[in-house]
Amino acid sequence: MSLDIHAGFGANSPAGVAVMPSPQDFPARMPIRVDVAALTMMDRVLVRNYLRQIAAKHGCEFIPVDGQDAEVSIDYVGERVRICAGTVQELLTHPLRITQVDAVLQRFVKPAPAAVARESRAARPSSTVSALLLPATRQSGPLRISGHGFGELYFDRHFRFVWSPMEAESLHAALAASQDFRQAEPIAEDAFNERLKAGDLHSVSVESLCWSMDTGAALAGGEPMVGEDQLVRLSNWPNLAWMPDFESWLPVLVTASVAPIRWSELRQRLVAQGIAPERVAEKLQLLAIFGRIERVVASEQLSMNPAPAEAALSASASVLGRLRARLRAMLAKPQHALGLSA
Amino acid sequence: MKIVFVGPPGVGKSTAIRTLSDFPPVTTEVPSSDEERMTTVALDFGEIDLDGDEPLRLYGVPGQERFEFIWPLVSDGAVGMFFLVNCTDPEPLKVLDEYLTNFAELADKVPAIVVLCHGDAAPDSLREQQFVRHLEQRGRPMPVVELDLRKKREALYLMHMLLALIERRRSSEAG
Repeated sequence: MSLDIHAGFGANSPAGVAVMPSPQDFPARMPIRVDVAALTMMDRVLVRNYLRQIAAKHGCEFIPVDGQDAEVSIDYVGERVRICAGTVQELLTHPLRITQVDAVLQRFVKPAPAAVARESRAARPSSTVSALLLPATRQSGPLRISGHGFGELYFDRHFRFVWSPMEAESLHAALAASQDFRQAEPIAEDAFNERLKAGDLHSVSVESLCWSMDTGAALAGGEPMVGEDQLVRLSNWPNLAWMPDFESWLPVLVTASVAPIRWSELRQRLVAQGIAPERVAEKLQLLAIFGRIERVVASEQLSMNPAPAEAALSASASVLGRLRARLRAMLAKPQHALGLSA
Repeated sequence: MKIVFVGPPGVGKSTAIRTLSDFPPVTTEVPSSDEERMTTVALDFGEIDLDGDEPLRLYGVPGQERFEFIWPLVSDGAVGMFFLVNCTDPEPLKVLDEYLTNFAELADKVPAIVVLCHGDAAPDSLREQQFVRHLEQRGRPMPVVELDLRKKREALYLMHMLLALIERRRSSEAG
């Protein structure tokens, strides 16, 4: 038995939707052949991730090997997944980021036919799109994203995925080289929000877009999500790397992550860092909406890495200051082809 | 002064150190127990120059017990550490547990961050929360953040996060 992937996952693929067993259920030693030429660019990304998951499931490596053929052949031989193809490099080094790719996959993984179903009786854990991010919005109403970060967003109608401009350079290069460029179109703020409201966006991309585009978000109705005197803590760190002033946020967020703090005090401390009050309100709202802030009952005490720290003290303030200066200098340097560095 | 990156082979330790180091990282290799593979990277080493001071040394080490002989070398003088987790690992929490146990002594002394890598290929949703809860249940709460360390900006963000944790630790001890 072998698995031939020639039609891709997409509903508009010429030969229909490929039937794929869940990566978790994928049997060992099943040969896989992938006809890259027949796949859309997005399909290639999905297939790559699918294969990576299979490799991970079986505890083996996913090893790219350059070859000349247009067809990717994968010999799944226990310890290794070997991939040979001329175009496979695109599959493996594709710069575009897809988070929660399994959720995308799941949308396109149809119930397995009898032959495969025998191999995949164990049900895959459910992780439907509705169970993904935005837990607060499910309770509190529709979300609206706004701000100055819109301008170079691309919406993929096929997969309802919005590509982030933080990878615009890579995105444009990849899309321009692909016949699938026609499937991605610029999307403006209003259209974005219309689609969000209609549930027509891949929800996992929404949060990363908000941070990377430096936008704000609001729930319909606009009621505050957290009371002023509410004790909260940062339970879950966001990726603020693409916010220009992330350094100002970190000392306060560290404080909020190691001990409960009142919502109003959290805001005041951030403002004291020199961040504009409106910006503070906007980003705190994002943290709350995406479930990164947790309410804490007054009696609860939290502490991180509670043991004393001789080693930390061995780093003097002046050395830490020099390190900070160096990191700032590195951050200020122009970056090359984001996402493409190995 | 050292910072230690702990994680399984292929998780991104070398990449992170290459991203941050002032010179191409030095890599040492040892034979793998698996004959199919030629070598397994045992240690990555890079440096960030600190303008007149001793440089900040960056060490990348595998967390498996068979590399135990390296740990004292890299732990001595460490001021912070990162546990890099491969999100595509079938049992990432189990792997993390192993590393937390192996590096418990260092993690008790210095600020540590769990970094979720390869999130773009990971199967589970809401995995950050799962890690946060798991660490709390183990009595070892620490920040968990998902990053792509191939991107210089995200690697630098991680360093800034650690720096903020170190400075808070210093100020709370001083206070």
